[in-house]
Amino acid sequence: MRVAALAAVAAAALWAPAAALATPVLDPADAAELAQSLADATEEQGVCYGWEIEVDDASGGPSGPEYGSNLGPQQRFDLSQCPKYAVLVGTIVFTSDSSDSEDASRIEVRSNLPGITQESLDELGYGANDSLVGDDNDTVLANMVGALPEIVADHGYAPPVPFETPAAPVEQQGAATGRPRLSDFLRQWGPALLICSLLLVGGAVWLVVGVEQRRRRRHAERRERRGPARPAQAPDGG
Amino acid sequence: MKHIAGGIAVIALGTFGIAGILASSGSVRSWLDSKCHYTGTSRDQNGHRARRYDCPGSASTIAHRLRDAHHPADQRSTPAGHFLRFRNQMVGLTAGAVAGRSIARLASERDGYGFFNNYVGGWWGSYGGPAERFRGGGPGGGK
Repeated sequence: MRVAALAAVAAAALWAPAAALATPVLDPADAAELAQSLADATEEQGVCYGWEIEVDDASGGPSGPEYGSNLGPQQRFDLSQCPKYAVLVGTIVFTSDSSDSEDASRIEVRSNLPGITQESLDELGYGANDSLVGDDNDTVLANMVGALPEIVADHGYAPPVPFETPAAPVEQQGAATGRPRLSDFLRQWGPALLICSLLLVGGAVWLVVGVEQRRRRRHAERRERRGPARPAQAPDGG
Repeated sequence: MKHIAGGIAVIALGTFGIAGILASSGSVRSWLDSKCHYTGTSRDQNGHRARRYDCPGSASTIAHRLRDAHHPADQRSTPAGHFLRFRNQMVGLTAGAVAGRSIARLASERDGYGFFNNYVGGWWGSYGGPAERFRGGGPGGGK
């Protein structure tokens, strides 16, 4: 009975659609959406795109390869069949809780198009190393891979992927959520503003201390100039 | 005397710092107004509106410069371009009609989520459409 159940599970896993398989970084829906956007870009540009990240999680989380391409999630393309390609490859190492080492990640853009490197991703703020160890590494990965077709077009190797406004009616679009709590001004300048405010307060305290010390010194000097205080004379009795 | 001079110097430093911050902290709109050329208002079929600009530089370049000037709270990069989220506004940066130029679209949060819904839907808000699944695309081997 147990063997039959295991066989059924194995068969189900074997026939499960690729998009439903668990991956270490992206959830299946996000992987499918990313792969679809790459497929659309490939159709437009004639360039193959993909991602391949090896995840090693010593803390017990999901490990293994995370990959996909314009052919679909968890699909690799044959480089020999792509006249132009750009693939994000990398590694993520999550250390165990008892380890002294820090979590780390490295990424690299492999492409047969000169100048298509991870530096372009750096300039977009995604960072080269250790950018995939945070809780939002799925978002960062999707952004880095999603940026590749625009970077390729930017270098003139292919036409840009056109921007399209949604065809869906407004009631199917949902609504924006998660508005940033801090104002744009405070988010950007908050730390600098705090430092400047501390300088103002610190400077004011320093100034007050200085003025007070000067006042006391002058007072003491004045007393010295007058000489020692004379004892008060007893009033004449007459 | 040293204390007084030091205090005045530190106060001056803080004052210059705050003045510098206030002087360089314009809005995203004023940044776009100064760096790009305003070309009118874009409207989608659902009536969402966005201010449209023609910018010198690719979408990546303008995204990089805008990020330096105004740190976005969030950013989304897709094959069609880059989308930056600020507290009350969204900016979409996509390729222009001419190589080396790009189009910037500035919209309120509500209009931006509708206008850029194909790219930010589900990432920066709720998603009301059918679940995404891979439908395939063109020839994998390229054209």
